[in-house]
Amino acid sequence: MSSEPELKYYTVADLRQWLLHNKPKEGLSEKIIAPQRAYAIMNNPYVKDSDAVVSAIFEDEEPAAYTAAFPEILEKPKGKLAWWFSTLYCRPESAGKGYGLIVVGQLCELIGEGNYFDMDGAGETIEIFKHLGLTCSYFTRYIFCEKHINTSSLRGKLAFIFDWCKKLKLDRRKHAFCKKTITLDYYLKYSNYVDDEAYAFIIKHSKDDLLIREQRCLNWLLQYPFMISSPILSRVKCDTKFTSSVESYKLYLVKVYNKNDNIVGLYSFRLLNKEFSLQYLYYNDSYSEIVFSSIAQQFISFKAVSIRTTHENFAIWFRNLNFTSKNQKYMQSFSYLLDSIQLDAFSSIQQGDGDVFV
Amino acid sequence: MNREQIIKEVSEIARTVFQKDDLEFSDELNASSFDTWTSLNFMQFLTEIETKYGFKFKMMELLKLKNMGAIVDSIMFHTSK
Repeated sequence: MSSEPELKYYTVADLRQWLLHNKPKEGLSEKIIAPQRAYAIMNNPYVKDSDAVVSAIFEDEEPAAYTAAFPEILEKPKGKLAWWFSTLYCRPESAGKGYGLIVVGQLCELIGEGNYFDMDGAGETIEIFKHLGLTCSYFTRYIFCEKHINTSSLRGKLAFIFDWCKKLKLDRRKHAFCKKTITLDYYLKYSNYVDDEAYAFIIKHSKDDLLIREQRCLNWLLQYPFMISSPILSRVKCDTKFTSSVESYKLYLVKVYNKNDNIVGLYSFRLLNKEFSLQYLYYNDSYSEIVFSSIAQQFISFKAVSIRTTHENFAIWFRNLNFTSKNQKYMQSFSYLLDSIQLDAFSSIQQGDGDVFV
Repeated sequence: MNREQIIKEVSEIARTVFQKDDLEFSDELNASSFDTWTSLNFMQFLTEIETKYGFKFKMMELLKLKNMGAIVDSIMFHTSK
């Protein structure tokens, strides 16, 4: 006989008791939130100890659905406090019971009247947020990658040979690009935080951005990425469906300078295994060729197999390089409840905007 | 509004949302009763009910909606206020 489902929530103070004092409140474990994600939320510069940040439903003491959220005060729209939903999971055997709506709805009730965001939600998730009064819009994400070929069939084997020849051609193209762009006069500085110079540059070159994060929020995301790579993970047991873990995870923040030592571009990218994602990109229009070229150089030097971006100008430029055999465009959802914004054709979303730095 | 009337209206909504013309109402109908009772359809079902009867389910209330019988009882409770 199964018992009644139980709805629970956890505050920042609860996360601290669990992670730092090994005194988890009943039900709180890595099954509903990965420790690195909990650690990041605990250290979010905007949270208070009493804020509810995790909600979960348990059936027979096992997690059936859960979600988490964190707050952020935005630079644009100035001073607006918004909550990002960062995970939403319902186990398949509990589907169709409205659990997703209940866990998200509970956090909204606890947070109270406010502004909410959700990025890249699946169909059910979008419906949940619509039900809670959020507006759902879509924007474009570009992905350039290699084709995956199944070599088990004869056709596959022939395609593999054809693709291998094509890869040689692409490699020659990359080599030629590196040779050609080596003469460009610029240099790079890598950093692990957004300093005042970098942030002033962001503000100056983000006119079309729908949202701009505060400097301290960007630095929080850089300091506490929700993702960790497997060498660390092997020491941290994670059973959650959102382990935020991969074999290899790297995050870079790069400043581009011209020969006069002026900053002309700033971008961040992450490498998740061999997948390159351009998280943020800001640049002086007069130096777009230099900045874009340096990103392409990074793509080549890290031997990445794919690149994703929401930046249309960069996507068009990169597509013309013909470095990859497959070019795709996806519509990515952005649900929001905030009166002062409207996602339209004239506003853009950066790949890094969202619940995680991915 | 009596229970029979609500059952009749809820059945109509369920047939449309769950795309199941032959749906026969019973109090025990739940998420495991048929394939088209998906998360997405259930969300739409709740939205239709809230729109039709002019109230919003509280989250704790949703947790108790284990089957059609509980949903009808909840509608009766809200509409009798």
